Amino acid sequence: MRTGTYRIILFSLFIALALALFFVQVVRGNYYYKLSMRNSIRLIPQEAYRGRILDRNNNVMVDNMLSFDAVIIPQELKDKKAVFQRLSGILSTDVDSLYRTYDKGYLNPFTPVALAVGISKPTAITLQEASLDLGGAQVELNARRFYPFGSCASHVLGYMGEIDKSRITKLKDYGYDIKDKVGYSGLEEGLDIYLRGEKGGQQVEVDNRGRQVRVLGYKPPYSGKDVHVTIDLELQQIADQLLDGKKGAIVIMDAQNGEILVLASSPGFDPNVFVDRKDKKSLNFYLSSQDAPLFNRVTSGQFPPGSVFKPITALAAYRSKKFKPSLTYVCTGKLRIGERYFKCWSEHGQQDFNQAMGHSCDVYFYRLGLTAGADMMSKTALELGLASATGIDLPQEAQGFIPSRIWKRLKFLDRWYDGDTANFAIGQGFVLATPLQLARMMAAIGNGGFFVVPHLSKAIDGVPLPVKELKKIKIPDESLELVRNALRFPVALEDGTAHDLDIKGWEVCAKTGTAQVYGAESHGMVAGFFPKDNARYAFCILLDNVGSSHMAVAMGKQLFQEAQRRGKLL
Amino acid sequence: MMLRPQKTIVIVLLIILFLGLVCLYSSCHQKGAFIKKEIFTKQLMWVGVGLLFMFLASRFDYRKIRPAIIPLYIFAFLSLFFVLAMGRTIMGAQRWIDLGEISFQPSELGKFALILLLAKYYSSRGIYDVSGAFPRAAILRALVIPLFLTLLLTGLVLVQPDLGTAIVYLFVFLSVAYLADISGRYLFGLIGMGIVFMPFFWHFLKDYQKSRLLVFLNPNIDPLGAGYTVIQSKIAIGSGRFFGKGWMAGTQSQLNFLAERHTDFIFSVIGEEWGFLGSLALLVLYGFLIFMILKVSDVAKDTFGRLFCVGVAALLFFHAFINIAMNVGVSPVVGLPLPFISYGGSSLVINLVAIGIVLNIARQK
Repeated sequence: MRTGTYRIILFSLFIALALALFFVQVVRGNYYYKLSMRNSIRLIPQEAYRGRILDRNNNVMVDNMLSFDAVIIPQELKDKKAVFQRLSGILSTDVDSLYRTYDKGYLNPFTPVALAVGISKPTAITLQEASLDLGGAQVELNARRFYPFGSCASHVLGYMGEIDKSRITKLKDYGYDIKDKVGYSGLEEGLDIYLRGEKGGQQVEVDNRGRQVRVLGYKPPYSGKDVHVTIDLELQQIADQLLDGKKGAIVIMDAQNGEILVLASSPGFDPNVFVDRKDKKSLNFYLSSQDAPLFNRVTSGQFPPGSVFKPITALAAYRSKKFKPSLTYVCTGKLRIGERYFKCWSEHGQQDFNQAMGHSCDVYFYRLGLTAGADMMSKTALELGLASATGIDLPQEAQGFIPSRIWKRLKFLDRWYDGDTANFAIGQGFVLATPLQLARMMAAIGNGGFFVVPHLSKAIDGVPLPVKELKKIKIPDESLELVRNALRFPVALEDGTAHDLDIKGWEVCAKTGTAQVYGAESHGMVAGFFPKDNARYAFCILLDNVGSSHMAVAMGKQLFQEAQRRGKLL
Repeated sequence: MMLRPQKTIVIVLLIILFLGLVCLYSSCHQKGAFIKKEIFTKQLMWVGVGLLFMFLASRFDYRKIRPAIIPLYIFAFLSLFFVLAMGRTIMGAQRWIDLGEISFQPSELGKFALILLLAKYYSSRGIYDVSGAFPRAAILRALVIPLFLTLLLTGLVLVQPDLGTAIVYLFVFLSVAYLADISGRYLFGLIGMGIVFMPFFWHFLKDYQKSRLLVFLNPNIDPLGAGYTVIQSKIAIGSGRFFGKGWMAGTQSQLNFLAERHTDFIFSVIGEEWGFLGSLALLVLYGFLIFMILKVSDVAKDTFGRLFCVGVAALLFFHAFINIAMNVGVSPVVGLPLPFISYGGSSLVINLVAIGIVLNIARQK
């Protein structure tokens, strides 16, 4: 009796054990199999060579430089103390900071830890000679991102940095990995996917302490693609020099196809500082300065366009069919609208349309605005691409803003007054636009109503990017021609607001503007195109807190004269 | 199916020994190098010596052992005592006595002595005579005295500390007592008491034993410390999947992720390299061996022989069961070898001698 029971007990225990084994090995087998593979297989990445960035004339704007790095391969390190002592002598760094760098950079026994990057050639040679008897220390040749022109076009180029958490969650599926270097802002970010190439590496089998046992496979890295951009380096340098020490932005765009020739924003930054991150002072300044050196004013800065908006008011008035260009108004320096007087910046007397444009007479445009009505102005502004991103191939583009009556009702629970229309008509109040949007608007007026997409990338890996077919805007041609002619007056008139831009033979058309800034001096700006008929280029120049547009116009003059002297542009 | 126990035992045993050597050979390798060659050769020698002793024991009339049992028990007791005072400490436990070239593990001898003693005790006349003048003495004779003799050895083993062996002693006692037809009330009372006092014993455990038990409940509390072995052995066994990774091809064992892989955790090497198929085959082999030994106990011509077989079967069963269970992570880690497979001379030789006696019992039925 008991012998039977005893056998049943033992037998059931064995069955239970067999079930446990079945569960672990068969049911969950694949799970544990994967774990065991992960246990024993590691990747030693080999960085890919990042693509270069070249301007439209094949000047290299971003390059890779070979850099000598002093590295330690942990698994080959035998006498740690002695090696670090020697290294401290060769690299003339104190031992403690070397230890700190080592501890911070340690990943696993076979991945080299860089103790010093970009060491000089003589130091590299000394170290290489010493490395024979210094087990574990070596000189490694690595490609290092190099920006030969420093802060020139820094906002176009962007900079490199280690991938952050938000980017890695977004980009994991595209092969991005922790500790990867990725582009931040500018084309380094916008075109990262082309520039970065594909990491290669060795797959190695490791033991329980992570030491390499054997190489299982090797995948060569694939270099990133070189990118040609539309920037004209020479012009860009002129623009950057003009802006040096000031706050502002310059953009010059091909009005026929949207290619950006110059995109300058000041203050800028030197992307080289982000490569080795040694210059802590500059880094701190870039990241915390009130003037926001990393901020791209051309694409991300939003300002009230001021009088630069007036061409839109004119177009809207013309479309309302209540307006004839022969119409004259007398400017007495102010206009009563409702219960308030709206001022003009001067007393212009009798003005026709072209004169009013040339003198930027506010009173005339208040009246035009009231003639056109807010709805037509909103509509026209939207059709000219305000309040929508231009689609430039740079990250973090701002959209700007165009108000409308419905918006005001929903936002402020208030009706739209004629005073709002008047403010709208001269580009103040709620309107916001980026310099790039204003340049595009000018391009559309100048080229006969074609809507260009501003862009910087011209060719990738030598293959030209397809040219997008231009969309014609819905604004009638004759109205555009009218405004085009009128925009010649600010430059052509002796007392025109942008007369300084009257470059011989260029037939520049432009409109100045001041953007009122709450609690500070106004921003001055000028935007336009040239030549008048079938414009080739559109531009926008903005200077922060200079009170009036005069400085911006003066800067435009210097820029165009220098360009003309060098045979650039026209 | 009528299998002749004697022959079956020998065949199954030889298969297990052979498989054991094959696995040990693999587990003595690391990264393709035969790094523990001396362990393998030593084990090979022990298998030879053990088989010789088994053969001799099978030829020796088991009943003639009886007079030697009490001296053997005393010897085992003294050597367990001695090991505590003088023994070699390996990994925090004093389990070995150095004898020149070789070292000897008295707790293994203790198992053997205990089985013999219990078999002898319960087969002596008068144990079941509860009709006498002292019915109250029945419990004393049936339970308290043999339990006390068991606990003497258990206690000494426990302070080494060797929790696994101590548990095996208790299981052997329970098995023999149960099949010696001790009143069920006594046995259930004993087990009940044991459960009640369980929390009390917690305080007698060493820190590492406590942490092993805690780690069993949740291996992730200390993944690089006490939990490491369990996690890695479970990964090894599971990663073998159905057919295994192949002999000498287990990444977990060959790359040294498995600790103790030629002793207590050799089963994880088997699980990894031979898969579920191999593990199950091993279980079946153990099952055959144990049930054949129990079959011998059925046909033994006296109670001593019968109970001795029961003791040996219980010993082998609980070793194999607890060892495999802890390898798979379904039982806490206690230091117990896998019979006939784990590296270790004392356990191997003594187990083989015990099998030899079982064979002799089978011969004399």
